[in-house]
Amino acid sequence: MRTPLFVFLLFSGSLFSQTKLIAHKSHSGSDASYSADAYPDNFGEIAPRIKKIKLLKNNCIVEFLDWGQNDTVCDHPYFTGQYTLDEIKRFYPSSTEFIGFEGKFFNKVVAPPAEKKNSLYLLALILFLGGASIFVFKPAK
Amino acid sequence: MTRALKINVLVFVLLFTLTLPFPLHFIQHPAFSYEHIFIWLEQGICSVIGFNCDFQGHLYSDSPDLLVHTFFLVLISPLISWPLLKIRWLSPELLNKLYLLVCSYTLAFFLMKYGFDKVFKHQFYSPEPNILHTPFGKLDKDILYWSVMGKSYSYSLFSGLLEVLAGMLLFFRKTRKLGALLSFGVMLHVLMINFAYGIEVKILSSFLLLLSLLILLWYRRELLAFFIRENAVICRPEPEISLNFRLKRLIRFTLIFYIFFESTFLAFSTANFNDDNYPRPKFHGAYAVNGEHMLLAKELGLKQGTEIKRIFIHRQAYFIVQTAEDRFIDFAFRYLPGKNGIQLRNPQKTELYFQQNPGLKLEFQYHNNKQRVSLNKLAF
Repeated sequence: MRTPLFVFLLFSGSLFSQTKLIAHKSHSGSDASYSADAYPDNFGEIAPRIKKIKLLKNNCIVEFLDWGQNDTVCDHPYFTGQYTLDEIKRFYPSSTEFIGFEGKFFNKVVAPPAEKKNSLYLLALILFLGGASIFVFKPAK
Repeated sequence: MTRALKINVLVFVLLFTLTLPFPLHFIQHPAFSYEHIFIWLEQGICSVIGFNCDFQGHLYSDSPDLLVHTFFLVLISPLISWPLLKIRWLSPELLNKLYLLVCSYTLAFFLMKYGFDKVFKHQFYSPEPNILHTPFGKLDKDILYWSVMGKSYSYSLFSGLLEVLAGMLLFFRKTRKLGALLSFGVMLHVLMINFAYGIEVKILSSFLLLLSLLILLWYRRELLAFFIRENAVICRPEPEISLNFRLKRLIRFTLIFYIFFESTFLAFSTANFNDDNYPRPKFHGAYAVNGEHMLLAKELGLKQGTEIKRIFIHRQAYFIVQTAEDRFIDFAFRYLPGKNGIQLRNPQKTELYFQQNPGLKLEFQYHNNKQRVSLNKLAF
């Protein structure tokens, strides 16, 4: 039950699709104190928010956000050793870069869960190859 | 349309599309890597000609930077096009085909992206509780429009499907005319909304309307004959490129597949096919504040005597208070892991805890004392 909760907490922030100004007015109500740099959304489209995550000592991490802000979090529930690095990566957008995690901890041996994102890429690859072979090798009229 | 004009149009469309840092999910748009080079170049030109360009460092929706950038591309396109005029292998057939394909596929990409965003309810999302409790007259036109659209799933689905259909029709030779006509109607409507409601996607929507016009311009004779002159319509055959037909099919299939994949990637990767039903974060909602709340106002650093009427938890981690005069003050927050609370990102780092028993209460620390405010969760 915890995994889906974490996933929606993460993605719930990145599913809004709006302009920077509408993103601001959505919580502040007006355009006073508006700063375009504070929002990654653009052209009424969604933008990925967390760019990279760096592991510090003492189970603290720094989240580097898309619009130049950094956020240091200690004892983050993902990074207390109960998840493997592969599991943690599934909680973040595929483009997120992980720094300083190599060989640190996260050695928990668990049955590998279904890799949702990887399976999506695999499905896309199968669909592409299947579709391309049908479409490309179909005899010309 | 002359050869020079066609090349010019082609260069401008490609430059604009490739330098616009449009958010993508499957791959990052390359423009994010070099947008600063353009801004730096354009800033230099502005200072040389003594024009005061109000640069902010990013090519975002309708920013002065994007406006100057667009003018800059209009100016440099002829310079880049000029040497291309003399290239021999760029035959009239190839040029015509490229003109049609670049305009059609670029327009189709944006239509599919925005269309699927509407279908999955990612663009016009359900309005936040603080917006729903704001007096109608206090909302600006843009957020008002966005919120009203967000209240109807069926309209969002309908407008999204229309855009997806227009995009799909543009992919194929036989349906391209119809796709261009439909895209023109859709984009004209979008552009009018953006101007009338002050939504900051005016430059991009103008560009997309221009693309649909450029495609219609190619079919002008057939369309004029059909709609105005009521003559028998003789369709001009689309130019063909002399390339292996399997290779042509592979290129077309790859482009269409990528456009579909990029447009639907976020929905599939998050399993969110209707954002209205997607779970909201903890405590999300609107709460009426009962009784003593002056200490909470003090703790939040609000003016003395401020009366807090309601509080809200916004989906993107904002704690918002609504005063008796319907003023809204927002604080970004983070969830406290393992606790039933949040920590505001204000200088005091105020910690607020939600207590369910007895009755809903908001607990916070004030001068080393624990204080509580009674809350009523409101329907919205």
